[in-house]
Amino acid sequence: MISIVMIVFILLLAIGVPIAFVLGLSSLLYLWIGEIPLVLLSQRFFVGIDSFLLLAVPLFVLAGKLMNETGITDRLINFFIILMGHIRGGLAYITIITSVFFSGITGTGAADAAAIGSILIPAMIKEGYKADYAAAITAVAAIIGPTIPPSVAMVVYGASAGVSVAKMFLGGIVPGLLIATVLMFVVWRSAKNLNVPVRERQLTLSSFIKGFFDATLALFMPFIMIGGVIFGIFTPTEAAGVSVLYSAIIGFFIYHRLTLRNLLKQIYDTALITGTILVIIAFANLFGWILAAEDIPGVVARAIIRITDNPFIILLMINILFLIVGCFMETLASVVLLTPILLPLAIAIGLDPVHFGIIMVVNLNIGLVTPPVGVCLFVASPIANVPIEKIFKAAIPFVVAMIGVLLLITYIPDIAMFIPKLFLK
Amino acid sequence: MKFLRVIQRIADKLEGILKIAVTMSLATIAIVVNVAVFFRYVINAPLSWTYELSQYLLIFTVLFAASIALRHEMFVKIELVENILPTKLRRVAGIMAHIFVGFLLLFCIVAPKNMIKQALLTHTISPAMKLPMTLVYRVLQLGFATMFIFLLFGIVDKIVQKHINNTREDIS
Repeated sequence: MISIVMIVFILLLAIGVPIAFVLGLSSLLYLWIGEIPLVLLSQRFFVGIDSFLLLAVPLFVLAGKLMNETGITDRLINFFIILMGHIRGGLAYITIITSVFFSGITGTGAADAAAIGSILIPAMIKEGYKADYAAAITAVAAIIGPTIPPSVAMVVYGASAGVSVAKMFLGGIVPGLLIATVLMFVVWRSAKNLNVPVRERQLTLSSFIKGFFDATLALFMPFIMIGGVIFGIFTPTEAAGVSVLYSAIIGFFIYHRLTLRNLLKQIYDTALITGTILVIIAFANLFGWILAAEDIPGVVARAIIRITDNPFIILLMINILFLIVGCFMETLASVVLLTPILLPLAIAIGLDPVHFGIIMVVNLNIGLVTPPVGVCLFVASPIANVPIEKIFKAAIPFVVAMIGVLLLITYIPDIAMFIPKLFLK
Repeated sequence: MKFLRVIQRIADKLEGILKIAVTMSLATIAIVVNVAVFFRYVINAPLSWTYELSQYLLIFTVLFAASIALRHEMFVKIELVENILPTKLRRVAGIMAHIFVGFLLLFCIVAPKNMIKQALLTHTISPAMKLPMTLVYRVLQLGFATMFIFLLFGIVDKIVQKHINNTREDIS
């Protein structure tokens, strides 16, 4: 029966039915064939979104939108330009560092690419960087977004796997910083070869102090949020709520950039995004129930273990599967689909669910910069006015470097697990 | 075509109402979560109803925002195969996709019937706000019905747009 369901699943995807409804339709077919009461459809849908944890999704998205609207991004970028603009490849480094800080606010890759790219891609091109290089560095840097907390993908994984989101957030810090470091290393290696320009203006104390004070409120925000979660002051959902309030206060009363009309527009846009994301999660809850009822996780685990019982190779196979899925599927949909199937196998080979979640999130996010569904490529392409293929070609050294980081995260668990173990027992 | 344009105007009006509703709902969630934090950490008197209210508002927001998103085709889909199909087949695939989604939504409207019946029989209420669960489940049903209607509105939009494009081509 499940094989018919899976064939229908693939056919529906192919004819362009949205992923959310593919999950719903395939589940409906299963219920019909198995003569299972239809009420399960609405029950699982309801349970799928009746979650306090998932409230963090719209709140983090809204906080990111408000931060962008209030001019936080501009101030962060200005500060880093003052700090490192004079170094060879300075704007490329700034793109990465701004992504690290901006990630601490938004939690989604595409939002980061759009916000940072709209400012830094034109700035880089104006300074003499090649357009494809400028777009590539912005697209790959945006991957840091869903790795460093807060991360919408981690919230969704936490909800799907029943894992502490606070632990996931803490687990993402070192991998995120490691990705940033490696990307900067690639910039350093390539800057001279590509003859990336150097700015004339040098750093002065007065410009540093002015830039720092201008960006203080933005720089502190990630620390307030992550600190709040680490020290148990907020739950991740509450941290998201507080970050909305914080960004609204800054926007209205300090930077005076936010208007009521603007605020309502951002809330409305966030509601639409929330609707599309959470309907996927709601139907995936039903689909997950079917997978469990058919013991698909067990079947997959047994099939893989029959090939090899070497955890090293199993992890490599899982990573390759994630990389392939990430190329074709949207990250959040992949997380909700793959978690119930592969988490039991990961636990069986001795992986901590938090560690597995970090591997999954980092890996699937590489798909943000790989064709054909690389969202960040699509975001960067019109800004730089360069075709996607050219951007991907320029991004290849960065993608290879990130796969290297992914393997480090996979095979050295402490990279991800050190901070969660330190702060949350 | 005149009839379809009237439907489109009704759709726009309904969308306007939903737009206000989902905006207010999400704004209330943000306020309620902050009120909960304030009462718990500042006043040290945690409120019991805040989590429940925000969760139910989230369900409301999701269902009605998804309705608008459905009309404007904002849901994520894989266009890889669709894009390589010839124009005629692509159109057929598009129509089939709409029919399948509509079919699912019709089942979704009927599905909560037993949940409502059960909640009515057992007088189930929510733990904190003492809200009758029948009300919550009816919102679920209404949400699916709205999604179905907005799916139809989306189809009307497409037909009208196609008619406009054809007229333009004829003129030029």
